[in-house]
Amino acid sequence: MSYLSVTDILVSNEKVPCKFLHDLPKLGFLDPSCTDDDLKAGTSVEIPIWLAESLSSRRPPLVTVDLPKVYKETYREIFSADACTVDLHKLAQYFYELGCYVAKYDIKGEVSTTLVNTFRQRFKMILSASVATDSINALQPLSECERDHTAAAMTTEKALSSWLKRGESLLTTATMVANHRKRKRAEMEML
Amino acid sequence: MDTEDLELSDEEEEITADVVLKTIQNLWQNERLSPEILPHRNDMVECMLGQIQHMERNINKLPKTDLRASIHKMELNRIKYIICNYLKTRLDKIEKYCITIVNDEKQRTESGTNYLTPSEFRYAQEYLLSIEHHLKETILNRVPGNMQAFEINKMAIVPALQSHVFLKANETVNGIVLEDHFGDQDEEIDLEEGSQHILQYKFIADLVKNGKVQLV
Amino acid sequence: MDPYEIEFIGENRIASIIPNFSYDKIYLICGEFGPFRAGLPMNVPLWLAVMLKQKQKCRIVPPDWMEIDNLENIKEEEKRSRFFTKMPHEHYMVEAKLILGAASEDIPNASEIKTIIKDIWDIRMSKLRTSMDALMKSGGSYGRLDHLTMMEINSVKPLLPSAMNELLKIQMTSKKSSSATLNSSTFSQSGTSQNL
Repeated sequence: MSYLSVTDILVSNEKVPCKFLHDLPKLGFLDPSCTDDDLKAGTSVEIPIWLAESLSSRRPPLVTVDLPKVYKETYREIFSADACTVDLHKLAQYFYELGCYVAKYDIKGEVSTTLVNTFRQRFKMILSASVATDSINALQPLSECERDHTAAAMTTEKALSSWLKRGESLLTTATMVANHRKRKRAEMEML
Repeated sequence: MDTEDLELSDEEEEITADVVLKTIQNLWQNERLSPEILPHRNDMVECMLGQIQHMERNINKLPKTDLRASIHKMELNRIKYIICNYLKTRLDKIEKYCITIVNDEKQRTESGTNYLTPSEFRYAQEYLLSIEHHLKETILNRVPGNMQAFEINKMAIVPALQSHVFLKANETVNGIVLEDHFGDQDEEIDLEEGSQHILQYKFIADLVKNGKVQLV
Repeated sequence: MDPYEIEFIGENRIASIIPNFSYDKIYLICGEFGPFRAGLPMNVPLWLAVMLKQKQKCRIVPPDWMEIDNLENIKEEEKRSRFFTKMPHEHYMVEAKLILGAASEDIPNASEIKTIIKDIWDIRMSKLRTSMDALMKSGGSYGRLDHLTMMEINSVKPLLPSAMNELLKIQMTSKKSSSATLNSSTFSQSGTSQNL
């Protein structure tokens, strides 16, 4: 990822569940439910992935990283059954980006397959959202990454429609203009 | 007001202005659509600029309201737009991929296969210095001593050569290998003349540079 | 690229006009055109044809393909075939839009022609969307798209290439990581215990 990517900075701040492998004096503050100053071995805490990667790559590792529930068995089955019914925005808005980070902690490599297949299946949702007249509802269940693609596709659609319309040569303007203003306002808020 | 036959060099055949124009249009299209900066064709650009100057001199001799004058002016504006946009696209890439381009160009200068013109290279180096200076003045010199390094390698933005592009084959090219990233499912395809494809840029970068395919 | 840039490229095509004035040959950089003889058809670049029409100095002659029966055939072929049919030329839509926009009075049956061309365009765009989805589902790293025109290809940018890029990125970052970690986790299990 680019050093200057804002998305990457946001994604790496997402939390993942980790188990601490050693007693760590004075680090009790990492666990909001802990009353001690010290962090005991065996405690499970949710920490940002940037910290989790750093702690788990030390030799010896200070934590083991567990997969967030969205990448575990139960959800993986839902995704392979019908990925398009899932509201990714509610469930995990950085589903793909965070997934790329945590895939390395899944020894079996199934997270990777789920990510790839889910993206492939949901591509048609991006396609329909980009031309939908009711774009708010179409955009709602899409993850951040999917929304970015949709936004770019919408821009292209608009540019093409307005080119076709210009000179009143080919496209009728009636229905387009009626929906245009309403849709534009709602999209601004959504995106 | 004749089109001139132009001699580019003693060894090359004369080529006509309309061929130069078509070449520049293709160069412009490729430069707009490719993820990396392409080898410069300053010879073509200079040649076309010369043509434009010659035409403008001739137009100025005509009365202002002459229809021919406005036709020629319109054509010249179209050509100027292409050249300006071509050069601006290159500059945008130089600014975006500054660090990578300066490093690559230094290596290419040794073998004489420059991608940048001398003035573009100067611009790239000055731009890089400006950025470095700016970051040092605004931030780096004010943070604790052990974090003050201008980490040039981390800051570098590398062109995405693995990104997908559309292309049209100008001539038949056989045996393009589409390497699978994990090495186990390489595919080999043939590009028939006139066929169109979408695939990763890095597999056909050389074909773009030698004119065998055109990006669309 | 913007549709207008593709229109710009398409405007270099040669079109046929009938000027209402007379002039000697003109020598443009892109070629020689003329002489202009009032009432006689001649060829000029499309951008020039539109400009002259707007100055009311000529009539535009419809290109051969822009004729009802021919277009109906193309439309039927497009409906029938799974693949994309070869269009009259690379910039049919640009030519149609410019000519029908600037000079519809010079084209017989202009409004019917507009409708048929729009229908052909819609059929192709819909096929394109289906093809994109199929391409992504089946692999998403290579596709062949003969007979698509530049304007149509442009309509799927950046969506198709960036989705394919995204897919590649997901494959690369998520798969590469898991095999690398396999080694390091084995190492930490079999390594001797160390002091923190």
